[in-house]
Amino acid sequence: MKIAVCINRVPDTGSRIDVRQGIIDSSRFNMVMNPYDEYALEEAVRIKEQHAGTTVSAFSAGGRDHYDVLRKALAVGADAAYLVEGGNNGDSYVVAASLGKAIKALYSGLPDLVFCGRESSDCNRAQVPLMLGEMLGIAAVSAVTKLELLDGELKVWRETEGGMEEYALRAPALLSAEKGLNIPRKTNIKAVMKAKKQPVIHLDGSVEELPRVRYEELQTLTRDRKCRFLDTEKELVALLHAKGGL
Amino acid sequence: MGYFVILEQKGGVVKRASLDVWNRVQQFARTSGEKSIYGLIIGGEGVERSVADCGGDGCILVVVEPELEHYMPSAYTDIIAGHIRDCGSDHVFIANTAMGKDLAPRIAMRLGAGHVSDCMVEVGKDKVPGASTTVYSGKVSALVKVLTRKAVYSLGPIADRPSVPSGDGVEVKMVESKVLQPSAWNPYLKEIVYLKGRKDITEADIVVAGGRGVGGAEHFALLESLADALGGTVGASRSAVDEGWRPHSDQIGQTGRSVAPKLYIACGISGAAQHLAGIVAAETIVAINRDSEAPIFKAADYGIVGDVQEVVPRLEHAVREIVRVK
Repeated sequence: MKIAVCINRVPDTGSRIDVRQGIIDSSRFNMVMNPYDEYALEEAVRIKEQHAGTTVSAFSAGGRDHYDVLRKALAVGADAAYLVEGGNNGDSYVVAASLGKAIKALYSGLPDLVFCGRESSDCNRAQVPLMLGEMLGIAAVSAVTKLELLDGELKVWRETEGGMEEYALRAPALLSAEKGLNIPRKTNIKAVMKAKKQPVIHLDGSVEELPRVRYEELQTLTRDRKCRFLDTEKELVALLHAKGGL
Repeated sequence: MGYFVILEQKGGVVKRASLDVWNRVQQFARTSGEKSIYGLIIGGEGVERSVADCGGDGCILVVVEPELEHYMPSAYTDIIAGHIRDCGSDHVFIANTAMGKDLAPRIAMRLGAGHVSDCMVEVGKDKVPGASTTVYSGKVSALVKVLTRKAVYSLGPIADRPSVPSGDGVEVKMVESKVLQPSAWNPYLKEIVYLKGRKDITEADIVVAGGRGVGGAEHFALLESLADALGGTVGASRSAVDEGWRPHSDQIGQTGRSVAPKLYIACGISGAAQHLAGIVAAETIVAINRDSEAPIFKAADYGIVGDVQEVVPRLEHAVREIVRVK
């Protein structure tokens, strides 16, 4: 089985976000693998460990600064790492087109499975996985929290309001990983050292597709309300009751 | 031009989040003078009756198909994209629910449309919606300019829920589902299991949520009991979910789900930006926290400084007294 995993590089969630003149100040960001992509990668590597003959290839759209997350993917257990150049300008549609081009070019036909994270923790759009699925012309399920692969039959679960949906799926298919799918392993020093010596292969991801949306007038957001502190629960209940909130 | 609303039903009833979207789009049309308003709903027998709740103007297309009572990604995409094309609508709106999040990017791709996820929209006189959203886990706001003629907007909940519009009345039109080949549907939804008991956090009017300050899974019983007294439901912060005290489906915040209750009671939740991003649409926010400096108080309307395990039972007692008087 052939598995492709798409990996993004984002500021870690503890990073301080400053906006200067409408632009995010990224100078002090500590960049890491997108947390949702860690679930995607872990699931792919687990399938590889359970199914002999499976290969896992990691793809990341961006510049050479993405070497770190691709090396981490190798350390976790990916067999090969591909840097997809020329298409990451921050627009979901263009990134999906770029990843799609690279994936199509690398495999004769298509991989059996494509894994992505549910969304990137920086822009939170959750668009690339489903757009990529449409571009590759394969079945897709987003925000998967559980997966079973038995005798070539694929079953996945996702959360919906107040319940769980179970889907049957035929490969080739794309799945985006939600938190809860697994607990990603920690990489050990030996694997990290070995990954450092493995090559990162460059692929052409330049595309003719143009951005479809543009983000403007970025501003740091505060959500302040005026808090009235109360001494007793009785006072609070009386106020809420008077307001019609109970 | 033209507005198109993708409606979602559960058990033959239009979802509250979808009704909100429909009502907002009616308001957009009032402001901009747009005359072309379409809605579409897919469901089993009798779903046509459920759209009686949709007021205002325009036409709602109804696809009745027992096989499509529940969300079937590829079939829904084919059917909905087809009808949007037939109606000639440029601006498509959908509620940012589990289905909406999954469906909107697919529809955008089929239409060659720009897609703005999890956004708010306002409409001026020029009929073109202006969208805004948040990025970096709710820490940064941004305006989103769509560069294509067509656009798909998935709308998050807002605090100021739109009222039911009056109008000439909505025309309900039964339409054919056109493409129906269940064997070709991939993925195929086999089953939905709904959790028993309380209302879902996204649909409840009152949400009692707990964080690390609750102190352990067993102490969530206090919150459950308070929620019972209030007729509400229980949610959790990311910390409480990460601790394994509550399931992921209860998680409120940017990495979980956004809620829009009338009353939100945050118990032992410190108030990280990611969490606050999920509760902006709450009408009234009450914070209970041991630390008077916790950021949650800055985002709250009312606050009580104290230990959750002491305050919550007293609060429940006070609530039950009022309920008894009522």
